[in-house]
Amino acid sequence: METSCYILTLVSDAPTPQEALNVALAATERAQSARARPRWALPLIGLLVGGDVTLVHTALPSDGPTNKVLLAVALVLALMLFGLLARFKRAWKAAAGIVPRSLYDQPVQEWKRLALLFVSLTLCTFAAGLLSGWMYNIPSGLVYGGWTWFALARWRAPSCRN
Amino acid sequence: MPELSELLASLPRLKLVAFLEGCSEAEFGTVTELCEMNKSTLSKAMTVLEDAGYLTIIKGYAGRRPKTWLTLTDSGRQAYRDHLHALTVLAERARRAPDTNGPSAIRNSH
Repeated sequence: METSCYILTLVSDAPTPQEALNVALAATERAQSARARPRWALPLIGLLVGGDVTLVHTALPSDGPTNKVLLAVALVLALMLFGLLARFKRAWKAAAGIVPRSLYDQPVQEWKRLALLFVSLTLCTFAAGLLSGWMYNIPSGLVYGGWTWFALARWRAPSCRN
Repeated sequence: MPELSELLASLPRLKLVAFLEGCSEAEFGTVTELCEMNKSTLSKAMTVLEDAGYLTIIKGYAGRRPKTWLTLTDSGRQAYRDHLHALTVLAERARRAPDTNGPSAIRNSH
């Protein structure tokens, strides 16, 4: 649109450029300051799931006293995880429909998400046959934790078609 | 001189695009509430913007309630930024120009 056209529209009740700018900036500011899904929850939940998987994998093979402690820690982590998920759900409801911008928040189709889970599980199963001990426990924790983070980052409470 | 977008010359459409620029996605009801727009105005604005390829509309359900999510496309985001740049330049020119030539003076004279 030509500038002259815009100036002509100013003859009517159209806003001046400055007014339009103010309206636009105020709207952006409102979106940015609105209560949104808490971002900190996603990496923390991923970390808890990954840590839990690593601990359980480390503790399960034998029955020593250290392993019982590890299992107890894993149980505490799991409880923390459930508490966090409950809080996350409440926070999401309170947010009432705003998702903050992030590099990784593009909606992903369901089959892609399931394919990623399938690939992760297959790799873990395959790796379990080849590796053992920390060589397996830490990568499997990273895979499960990373996948949880990835999946939750794409989760929207009001379900959508993807 | 940067070009203004004709589509974004309408205040409700500009408001909607500016709001979506500040987030990744927003639900229809949230936009009406936070942008202080009524449902009909928002609905018209989003249809025009979707037709222009500036907006993606995703419909789904929360339980049994239908929900509509709005996302700005890359071209919409770019168009908004260009429009904002053009507005900034115009506003700057209006500020520098003497009162007799400024947009407010033009408007006041009518």
